[in-house]
Amino acid sequence: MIPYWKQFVAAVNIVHSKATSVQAGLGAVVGMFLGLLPMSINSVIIILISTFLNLDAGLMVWSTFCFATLSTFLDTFAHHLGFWMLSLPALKPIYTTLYNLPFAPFSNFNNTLVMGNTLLGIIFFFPVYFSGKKFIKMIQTASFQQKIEKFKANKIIMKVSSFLSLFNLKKKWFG
Amino acid sequence: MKNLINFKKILTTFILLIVLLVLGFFFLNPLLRWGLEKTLTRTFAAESHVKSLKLSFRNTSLKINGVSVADAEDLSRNLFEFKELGGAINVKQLAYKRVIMPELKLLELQLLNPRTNSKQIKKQKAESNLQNIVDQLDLNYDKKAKTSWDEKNMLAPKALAQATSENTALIAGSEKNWKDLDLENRIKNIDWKSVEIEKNEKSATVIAQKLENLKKIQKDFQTIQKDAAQTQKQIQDNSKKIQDNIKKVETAKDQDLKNALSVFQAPKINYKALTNELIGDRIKKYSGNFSNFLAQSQDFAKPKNPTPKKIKKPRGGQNITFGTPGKLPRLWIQKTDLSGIHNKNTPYEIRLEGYIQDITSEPAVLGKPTLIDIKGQFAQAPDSALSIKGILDHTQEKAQDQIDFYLTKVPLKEFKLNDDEKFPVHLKSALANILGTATISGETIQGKISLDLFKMDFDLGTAPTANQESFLSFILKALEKTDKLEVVGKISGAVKKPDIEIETNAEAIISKAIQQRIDEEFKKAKDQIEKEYNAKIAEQKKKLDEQVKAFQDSTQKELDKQKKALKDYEDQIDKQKKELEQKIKGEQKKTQKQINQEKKKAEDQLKKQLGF
Repeated sequence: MIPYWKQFVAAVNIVHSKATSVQAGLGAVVGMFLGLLPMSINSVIIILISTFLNLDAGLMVWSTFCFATLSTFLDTFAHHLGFWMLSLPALKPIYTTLYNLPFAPFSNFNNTLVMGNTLLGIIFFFPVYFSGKKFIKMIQTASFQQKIEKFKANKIIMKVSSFLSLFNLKKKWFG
Repeated sequence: MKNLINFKKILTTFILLIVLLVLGFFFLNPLLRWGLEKTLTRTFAAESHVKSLKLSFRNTSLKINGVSVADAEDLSRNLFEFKELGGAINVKQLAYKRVIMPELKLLELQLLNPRTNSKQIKKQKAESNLQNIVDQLDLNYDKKAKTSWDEKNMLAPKALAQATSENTALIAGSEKNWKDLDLENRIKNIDWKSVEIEKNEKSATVIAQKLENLKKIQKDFQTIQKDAAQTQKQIQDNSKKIQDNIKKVETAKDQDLKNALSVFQAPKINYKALTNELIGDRIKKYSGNFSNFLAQSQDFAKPKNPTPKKIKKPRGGQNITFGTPGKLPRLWIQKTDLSGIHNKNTPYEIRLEGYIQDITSEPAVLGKPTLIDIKGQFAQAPDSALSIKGILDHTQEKAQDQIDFYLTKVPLKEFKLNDDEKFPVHLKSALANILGTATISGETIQGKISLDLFKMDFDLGTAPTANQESFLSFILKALEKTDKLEVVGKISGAVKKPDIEIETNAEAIISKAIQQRIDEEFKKAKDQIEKEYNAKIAEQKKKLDEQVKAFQDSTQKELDKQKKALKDYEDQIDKQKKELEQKIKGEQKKTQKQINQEKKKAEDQLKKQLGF
């Protein structure tokens, strides 16, 4: 939890995000994949990638939460989609090659849910990317910030995020 | 782009990864143990436990200790458990997500042992209809006999009453005849004075008249005799009628007994259901487990499937395999050497030894069937033997499995034939031969498991009711007496849910025992009815017999008396007649002499007068 405390605080304080639009868009996309795909080695790899990149952590967390919720309703569809994809005779040689390659089987690509959700992620890639960009631009406008500041809730969020930042041990220990 | 990549984080992550790897090196074994436990739980859909796991990189070997997997069908026992499992792993193939083991050693494998480390003990309370069958057997025939004893509907008492009435009338008629006959008075009233001679005149005319009177008396006497004979004949006829009446009473009595005993009909017992409930339970379970084991082998090593079938909504998705024949399967244990002790420290302790060849999760990829060859012997019975041989061929689209096993001269001790607590049928001791064979083609199974029991000694245990105890006791005693009890479970139909049909010679044994018991009860009840009935009839009949006998005796006595009187009077008449005839003769002679004298006197007087 320690390395990802910042992301958690960012998620709470998303309305005051300072991320660029690209970082926000990619954060939303990475969060989407994390939310859609079942927990496996793939999730670990995605989390690692997200760690290497300067993404909007807050948007990534919210995106993960939203798509994870959505995936409970999309699982059946994803299963059918994945089964269709894996049953395509034209792609069978590719799958067979992948299946017999080292390390590739660990990706669980032959699982209908993994394949279906990956496909859904690819389909939603650009819509989610641009939506993320648009969303961050919207909340970073002066008029939006002025509106936000008027709300009492904003003050509570600020206080909570400041309080949570106190526990950012990494910042404390490593500066 | 420069803003996008965080090199500082990459460095931090690498350090973290290195720390994790170092920690993983120390904690790899517990992690793998945890992973294996989860995999086993998912594979067998039941709680699993792994005590420890040791992965050695030096010689690329794996050693697992203390594994137990619960039986999904009955969580109170383990499907299998073993003390140690060890073997080398092909490390290169691990990168391909393949577990290839040239040789595996499995020590102290135990099958279907009671599960000690599970909290989920499934309660098995099978509804048994045996109690209902037992209830049908109302063996209290004494009560039945008494309720069927309805004197109002009996024929014999009616016939007896009628016979008594008729006989009384006949006796009364006979007595009236005697009275009407009035033989004595009639004899007495005969005018004997008319034949008195001495006091009468001595004339022949008078004598002749007297003689006539005597003849008349004789004639009267003959009439009286004739009347008496007729009366006697009538009395004899009446006696005959009385005897006929008594015969009618006997016939009615027989009919009554027949009617009374006709209520006894043997109860309709479903002997097949009865024996199935009593002794089919165990073999049903064996057959079910056997079939279940084979079904699980198909689930584990799925037959070749060119076009995967879509599962409707699988949890966690569906894995589509792309194994290529000629390549290696995901799991392949080339040879598993087995050795171990099953049912340790119990009367059924058995030592097993053998091998299983080519265990794989993808038989179609491997292209080889799994071979099983296991032999064993019971520790407490050196004559016993166990053998399991099988070929599980899942290389083609249709699974073709053949399993044969036998256990001979198995010493059974405290062996439960039925798990139902209501019918604790225990075998204290017996010898058993168990033979099983099954052929699976696709999803259908054909096979049978036969259980032959010898030298049986049953222990009924605690029976809830006295009646039941008695009922079960005599059935079990009957089974004990038999040389061989055969129970055959025929398995057919779907391998996952087979139909198990039980056939046994116990049906014949039990039906014979019950029939014998019923016959005994019937005989007892019949004897009881007959005894009570005969006693009642005999009491009434005795009165009738006494009445008839008294009548016959009195009649005979009277008859004899009258006959004697008649004879006396007859003798008297004869005597009187003789005397009278002699007197008549004497009088005639005397009269003739007198006449002759008178005649001579007259002649002499005449001669004198005439001068001669």
